[in-house]
Amino acid sequence: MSSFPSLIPNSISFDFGAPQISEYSAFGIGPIRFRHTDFVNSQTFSLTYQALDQTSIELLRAHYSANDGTAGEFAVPTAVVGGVNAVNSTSVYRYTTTPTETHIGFQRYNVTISIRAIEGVLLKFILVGEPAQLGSLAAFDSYVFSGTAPFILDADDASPAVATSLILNSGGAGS
Amino acid sequence: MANFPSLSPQSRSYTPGSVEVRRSKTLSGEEVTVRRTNTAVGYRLRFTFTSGSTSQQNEIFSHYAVQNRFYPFDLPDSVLQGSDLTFPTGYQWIYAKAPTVAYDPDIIRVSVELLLIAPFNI
Repeated sequence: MSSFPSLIPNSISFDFGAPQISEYSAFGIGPIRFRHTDFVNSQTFSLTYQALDQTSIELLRAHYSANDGTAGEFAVPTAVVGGVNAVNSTSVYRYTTTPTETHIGFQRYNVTISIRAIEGVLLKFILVGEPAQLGSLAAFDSYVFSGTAPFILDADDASPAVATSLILNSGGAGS
Repeated sequence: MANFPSLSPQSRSYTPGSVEVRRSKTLSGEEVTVRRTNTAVGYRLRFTFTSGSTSQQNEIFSHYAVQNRFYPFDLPDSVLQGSDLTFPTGYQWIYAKAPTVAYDPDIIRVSVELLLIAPFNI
């Protein structure tokens, strides 16, 4: 899992997130609410950068690209969000939207980045076809699976053209 | 295929591409994202060209009249000058929408929005 560049924004704004509660209304009684967990997440942070230089904007571009855009999760240094204590320490982040940079002069950029905290569980499957290569072992802590990656389903008895295996890699494993 | 006119914009903004994802959320708040492609799409560039005459407007209109939303084209270096932006090889631009023109006294602003698309054959 990557880490957001350690660039201090010019300003930040955020909300306090939402608890995991579902609610429905019934005839004759008030709304009924179910609390599914004690975890409060989905805090959305808006990071505003002004007059970034070329080196800094390249850091943001590279991180967004390497993170697969809005798909991947990443950590955010506490300093970037002003040290606020509004999220659970196990939270990870995703881009809420694709950031748009404004070019305000020669290699000077304004950009506002919106990120959202999510509960810190990762689920990642990589299906590797023939010829599968066994990657290095990586410790992980992911939803559904817990242990040491990769899990391997060997197809030893299937007599494939090339010995195949299905490797379920955990999130963050680089293989 | 005619390249975009070699003009220098007075303002520019850029939105990088993003991969298609599907998100699923559980009652307990966990969220799973499934990435459906390795290819990022939706790169967008927006330019504003400001001039005291209609020459830039005419160049852009002539280009749009031929290319419009159908024919892809490449960008000259002048419109990306200093940005160090890079894009996937072989991709080309089309107009995301029709350019708009705003007239103020002695100032003409032409706004252009372009969308990067994957290679295809016409």
